[in-house]
Amino acid sequence: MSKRYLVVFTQSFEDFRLPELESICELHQIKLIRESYSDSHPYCVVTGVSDADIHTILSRCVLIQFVAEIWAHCTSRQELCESQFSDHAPVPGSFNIILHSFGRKVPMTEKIDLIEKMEHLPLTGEVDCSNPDHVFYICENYTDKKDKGPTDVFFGPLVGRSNRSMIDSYSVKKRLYIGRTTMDAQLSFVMANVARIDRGDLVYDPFLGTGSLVIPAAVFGAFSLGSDIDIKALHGWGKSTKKGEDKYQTHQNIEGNMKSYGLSSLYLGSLASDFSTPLIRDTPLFDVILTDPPYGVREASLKVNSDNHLAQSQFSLSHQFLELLNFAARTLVIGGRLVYWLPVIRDLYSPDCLPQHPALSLLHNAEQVLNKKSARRLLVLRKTRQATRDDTAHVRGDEVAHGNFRELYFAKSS
Amino acid sequence: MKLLTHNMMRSHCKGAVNGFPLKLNFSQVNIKEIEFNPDFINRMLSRLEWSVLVDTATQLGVNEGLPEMLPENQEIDDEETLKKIHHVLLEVEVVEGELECPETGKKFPISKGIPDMRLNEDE
Repeated sequence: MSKRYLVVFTQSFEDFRLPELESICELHQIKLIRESYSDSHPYCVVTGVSDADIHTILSRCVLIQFVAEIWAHCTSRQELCESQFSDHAPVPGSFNIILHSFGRKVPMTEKIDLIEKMEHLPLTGEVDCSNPDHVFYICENYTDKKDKGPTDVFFGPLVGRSNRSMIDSYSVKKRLYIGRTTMDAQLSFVMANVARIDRGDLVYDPFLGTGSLVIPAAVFGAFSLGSDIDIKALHGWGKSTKKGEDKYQTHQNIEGNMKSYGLSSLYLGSLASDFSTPLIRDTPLFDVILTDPPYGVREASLKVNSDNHLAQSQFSLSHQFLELLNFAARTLVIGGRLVYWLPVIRDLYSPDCLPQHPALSLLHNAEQVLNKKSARRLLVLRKTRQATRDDTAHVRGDEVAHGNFRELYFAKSS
Repeated sequence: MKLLTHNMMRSHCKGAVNGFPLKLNFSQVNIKEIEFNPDFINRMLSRLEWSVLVDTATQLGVNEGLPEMLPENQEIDDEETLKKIHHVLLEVEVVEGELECPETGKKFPISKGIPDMRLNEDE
């Protein structure tokens, strides 16, 4: 009989948790079966996988905290205490039992009391809190009836913790070179995961900025290059946006970041270019296009005019996204993925206002709320066939939700 | 600018039909050691314009025995050959120089390894 596991997610970016998990399972051909999932709490029961599969998932997914094998799944503490664990051989060696709860903070005294009442635990060794041979988890879900006790109580050994600590090593706060548009490290890793980036892939970012997306791509073994109209961002020229820093130093640029992380070999460089006149050959080249296009709010859409100054763009926001899909349809290999953020005004959003292309199929659409009025959606599209001359990106319904995003974003609420 | 990048680029000047390949004039070239990934090199072979790569490598004086043509299936097993291709694609960097549109003659400077491909509104 297949083991059952408890995947404990972080309770943040809820919309992105399943897309990330599903993308990694697809990448590694892991046939995971979800028995239960809810956006409102972190506990997800899965089966159909092995310990090795779980370790693969944990090596990539940053929205998972840890995974435990399920030895008991009860609807009350009483039931847990009465569990026999007869299927499990005695476990020698030292152990520690950690209680993880959601929806209620459980005091230490209660935890100790509960463990003492579990009379049939097949653990023969001593308790060791600092360096145990085995770690076990009790997980209690209080989402539904906070005062009446948990709805679910799980018990089992820890299989592994995720690589979330890697987010800390790539934290934007510690990074050498950042700018106003630098993507949060956790989200950049989520993007690389839903893009199914694999070792040896070729990744392109047409709105490269300070290069925040080439970092997770490189961590996962892919080669990246990019372009941006803002040549100063590519070179690392100008005034630093970090507090206390003056102008960017010579080592403060995209190359400097990659060098500081030991990822230089995987960064192929950049080009200064206006995306409205893309300078890439019209042929399948890239495995992934991973990008965060400008929304026209903080960094307004820019174009070069004949005085060589950056001027407000005629290239409207909507046109930018349609061009991005056309570009992806031409330059992705079949099976390759386009992953990008689309800003939306929440009240005006419907799936009809998403840009579409006949050769690209929508796989995931996850919302991150920015404020009461606006959000951005992470869209994941896969190229299913070569684009013909007649294929072109379009919007089925009303593009107003993102077309005049800048105007609507700054408009006073009625 | 690496030669892999150059192989993927074309110019988009008004009046240019193909804009490929961009002519390369160089004044400073660096060689940088890059970790060898044979799978990646093999994967790129079918995506490259092979003759352009060979010509550009020859022009830069870094062609040390690249095959004139790729085999039909566009795969190479011989590690020595793959390493030569790896060297030319990834380890040769044009730091200072310029690219030129083959049709309009418009010049694009390369400074500190970054080509400036921006066009004015009228171009």
